[in-house]
Amino acid sequence: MASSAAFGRLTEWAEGGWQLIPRLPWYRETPRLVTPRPVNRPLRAGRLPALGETRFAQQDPPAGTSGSTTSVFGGISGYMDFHFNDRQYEDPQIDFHRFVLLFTHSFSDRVRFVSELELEHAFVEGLEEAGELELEQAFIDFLVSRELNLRAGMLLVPVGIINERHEPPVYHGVERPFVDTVIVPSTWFEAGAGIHGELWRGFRYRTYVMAPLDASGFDAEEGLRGGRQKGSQANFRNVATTGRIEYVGIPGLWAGASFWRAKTGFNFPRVESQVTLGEVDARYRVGELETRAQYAHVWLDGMGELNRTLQRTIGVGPNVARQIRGFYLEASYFVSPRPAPREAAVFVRYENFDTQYKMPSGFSPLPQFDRDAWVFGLSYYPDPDVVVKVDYSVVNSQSTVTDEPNSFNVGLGWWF
Amino acid sequence: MIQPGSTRRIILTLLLAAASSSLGAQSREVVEIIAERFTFTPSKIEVEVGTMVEIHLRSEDTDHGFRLADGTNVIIPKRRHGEAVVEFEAESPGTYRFECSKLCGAGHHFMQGEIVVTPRATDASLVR
Repeated sequence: MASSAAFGRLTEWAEGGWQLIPRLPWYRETPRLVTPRPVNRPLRAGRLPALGETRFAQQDPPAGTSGSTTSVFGGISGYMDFHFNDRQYEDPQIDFHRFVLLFTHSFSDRVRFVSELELEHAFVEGLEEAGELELEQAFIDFLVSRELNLRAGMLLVPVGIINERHEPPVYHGVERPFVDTVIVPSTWFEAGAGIHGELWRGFRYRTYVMAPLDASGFDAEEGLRGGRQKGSQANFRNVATTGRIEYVGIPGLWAGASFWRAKTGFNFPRVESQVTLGEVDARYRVGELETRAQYAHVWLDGMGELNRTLQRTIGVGPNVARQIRGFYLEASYFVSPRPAPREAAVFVRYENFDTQYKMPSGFSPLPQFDRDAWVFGLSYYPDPDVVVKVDYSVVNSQSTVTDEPNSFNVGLGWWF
Repeated sequence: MIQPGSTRRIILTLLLAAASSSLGAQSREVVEIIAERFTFTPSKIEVEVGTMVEIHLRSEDTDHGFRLADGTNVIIPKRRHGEAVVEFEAESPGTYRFECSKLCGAGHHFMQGEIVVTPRATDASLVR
């Protein structure tokens, strides 16, 4: 009863029922719907244009142009992520984790630009832990047809659920899943070019050539993560190929499979190393229930030689595995009272991830990096684009010596 | 009392009424489209020429837009804030694009779909 009252109170606040601050003279209230209301009337009655009128991919553009010549600034979009993390054995932290702005521009109907500029941890000093200013996306799309379009620039690697859709309101939990951090190193972006489109109803694909990973950045704890070149004067002696096919033809279902493959040892020409990643994932929503699952497996060739070379070169062997893998299963349920445009969801996620799954000959796995985690919590949406998250993570490893820290986390994220 | 010949007249009238109603009948297709960053589901709709099409648009996340090539442009309200309905007559065969007209994130430009208006089956058989 008490929780119901609190929820109602929060809903009342979200509706503007009570004010945190007094209304100022320049305050203008935005009209809003109080309850969901179907608009069961035609908003416009019209006719489709006859053949020959403005249509996409059916009408050849005038010579020397690329369709409409109207250049339109697409506007600014963005998302933010603000965290409180209380990890076991450490002092609590408060962190403005991500401040991201997206700029888009349409040069014409067929030539479009998208960019994403991200400031991490609110401060730039030079290392990822201290803060980063990252150009995560900046590409031009040449829209040719429904089946085939071209794309070039800084691209998100099309692997997994989170890497291409990592805005706070689209996933549960304050931090991204562990699998999407240490197995699929999101946010994973590189310079490249490729094609994308929709082949049949609901079957979409993307395939790119991109800058490869740098094997000298791999390690035992976080796998590939340190090997991202991030499109910054990236070595392109070896070309990575990557791709994803996904099916979105049934409402509520998203299913996909992705791969990445590239030679990675350009800093050590005598080391023949290669990374091959395969991944499958699915999301399914029915009624108030949503489920997610993802499995990712990475094969790393030549890691024995790489470990020995790094041991000789810098004096520390990174103990990189020859296979790493991880998966997670998540279920969430929306418990909002109806009718109400405000929502709350409870969720639970089980993750299992091992960055020492199979070792090269002569190397032993470090059991503290064979981990699993239970994450459970609540996501409250005062608006579909604003989320308040609370969760608790219980992390375990196979080690009998080290203890993985559990954590209590609170987050506030928004997207516009 | 029914006059002689009345029965024949009634049957003729009913037949004419049935024929005229079938000639004037216009098929109606109701389609539900779910908008979600960054896709429309379904993203391809096929209707026969002459069909009255009623599209119900609902969002699973934020505000989206639905713009048709003829200038029709409506806002699809946020999740649980209702739906938008667009109605039109598919007058000419062809392929017509629709797209999201409200910036909704990095994948906004890729929220597109097609309405394919095909000739009537009877028209197609005449052409053959």
